[in-house]
Amino acid sequence: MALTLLLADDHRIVRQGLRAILAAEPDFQLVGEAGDGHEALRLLEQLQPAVMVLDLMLPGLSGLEVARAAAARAPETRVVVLSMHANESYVTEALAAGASGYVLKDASAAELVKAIREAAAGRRYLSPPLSEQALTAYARRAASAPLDPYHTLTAREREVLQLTADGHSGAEIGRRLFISPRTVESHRANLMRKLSLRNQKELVRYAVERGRATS
Amino acid sequence: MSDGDGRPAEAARVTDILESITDAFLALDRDGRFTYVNRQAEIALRKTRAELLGHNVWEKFPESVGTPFQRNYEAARAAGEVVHYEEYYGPLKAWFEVHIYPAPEGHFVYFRDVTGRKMAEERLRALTHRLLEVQEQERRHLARELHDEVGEVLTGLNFALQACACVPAEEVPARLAQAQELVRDLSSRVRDLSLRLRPTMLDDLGLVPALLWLFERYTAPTGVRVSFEHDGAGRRFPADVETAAYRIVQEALTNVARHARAAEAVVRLWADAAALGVQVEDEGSGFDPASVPPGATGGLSGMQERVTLLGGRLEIASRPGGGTRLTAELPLGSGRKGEADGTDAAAGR
Repeated sequence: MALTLLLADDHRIVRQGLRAILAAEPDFQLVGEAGDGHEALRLLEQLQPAVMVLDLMLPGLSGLEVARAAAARAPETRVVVLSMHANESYVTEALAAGASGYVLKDASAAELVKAIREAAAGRRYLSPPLSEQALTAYARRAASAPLDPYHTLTAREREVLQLTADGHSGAEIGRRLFISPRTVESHRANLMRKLSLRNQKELVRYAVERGRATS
Repeated sequence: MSDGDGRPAEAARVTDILESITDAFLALDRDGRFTYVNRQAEIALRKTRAELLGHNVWEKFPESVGTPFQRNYEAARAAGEVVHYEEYYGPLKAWFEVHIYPAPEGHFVYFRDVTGRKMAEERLRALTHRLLEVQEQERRHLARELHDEVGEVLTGLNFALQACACVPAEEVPARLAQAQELVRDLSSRVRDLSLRLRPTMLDDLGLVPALLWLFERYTAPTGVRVSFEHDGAGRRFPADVETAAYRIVQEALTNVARHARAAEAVVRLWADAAALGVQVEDEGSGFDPASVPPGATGGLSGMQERVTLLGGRLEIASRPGGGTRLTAELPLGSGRKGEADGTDAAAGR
């Protein structure tokens, strides 16, 4: 049975080159070509190919968006992304968007063919030098490291926090720091927002605990 | 309104008007003595009318004798025409816009303090100048890189392809493979060049992937490790905010590598509905923020401009030997323009 293919890339020369590569495989059958994201999605829905070869940087609707939409519009179609970006962030995004394969644009023809066959068989394929290890390492770096909101306070906000906790009024703090009471109020509102404190009592408790922790 | 000396009501009304306007107004007699000073003029000149009325202007302001203020006044007196000028007055550290009108008993002087506008113009001029300089520098750099990095490989590619036509048929595949290797090298160099100008991740994927890429590129040549903490910043923000945050981190890290002599920098990124915050902290050598002149070209003022343009706040906390912590907050959503009153951006400087 023929392996049906849809090609989506905005550069005619690239499509021409890809067509030549795919034509060399007797069981491949190119059923459509798209030059932008919207056309790609339309043809995808209409043709329901086995595999879509998708440029990541399509005009109109980006390749990532097409890949995301593909899951709903053509659930049987596997997506092989063609990209000039070897950076793990792109690979991670593409895989998260539902792509099965990720092939660099300067990879060899054999790699693209291999990626298409692997994808059609329901397996993941990353063209070298991309690797699963690199993706895991990237995921670790990208993971939200815990952030202590106290660090996000500016020096002014720290002063206002301390003086407020010590029981000084806005006007007193303003006089000490040579700023207007309104500015003090704005600092206090900012720091309470950052620390997720709702009222004066919580603020004082926070400052005391913080002071105990650091002294 | 002290001159309620039985003048007609109309004159009183004129006086009321002059007292209520937000510009400064004063009248001088033919000998240059103050005959009227409105409230705003008192504020602008930092003297009360009791100090001024009846006294000669050049006796009260001897520092201005020989300055354009006196010269323009003399010119107005000699020509009997309206004179308009803007001038900096050193003793009061202020810019004034002045109109001198000939009047029956002397001159009316209508003026206002335009220091705020002048300073904004000056900042804008300095910024434009700096932008042009940076742009030119980048172009020079880019031109050289294009020449060195790309031109060289293209020359090699040309030779490799030419050779294909001259060598025996059985050697052609090897030559083509060589040419292909060059093309691959070339495309990676072009990609690299383009990423260094502006990382595409910033547009395609957002701030966190772009920063991760930046850190990777930063640590290798500088030896400075980056520890990254973020909270709520994994989503997309307005393009100008993302760009500003990225460039601020980039600039701050460049400063760490250049000046701080630190082994590690911490980058923090956080966001809620109201603002996106970035912070770059190191435990390096630090500096005295007060010693950086406000108009200094270089990283800090560029960062300040970026933050100010978005209505945000920038704080640099540092002292010699005590490391540096740079914090920038950029308003988001509804707070974006209205936040302007919270712009006590100078707070930490």
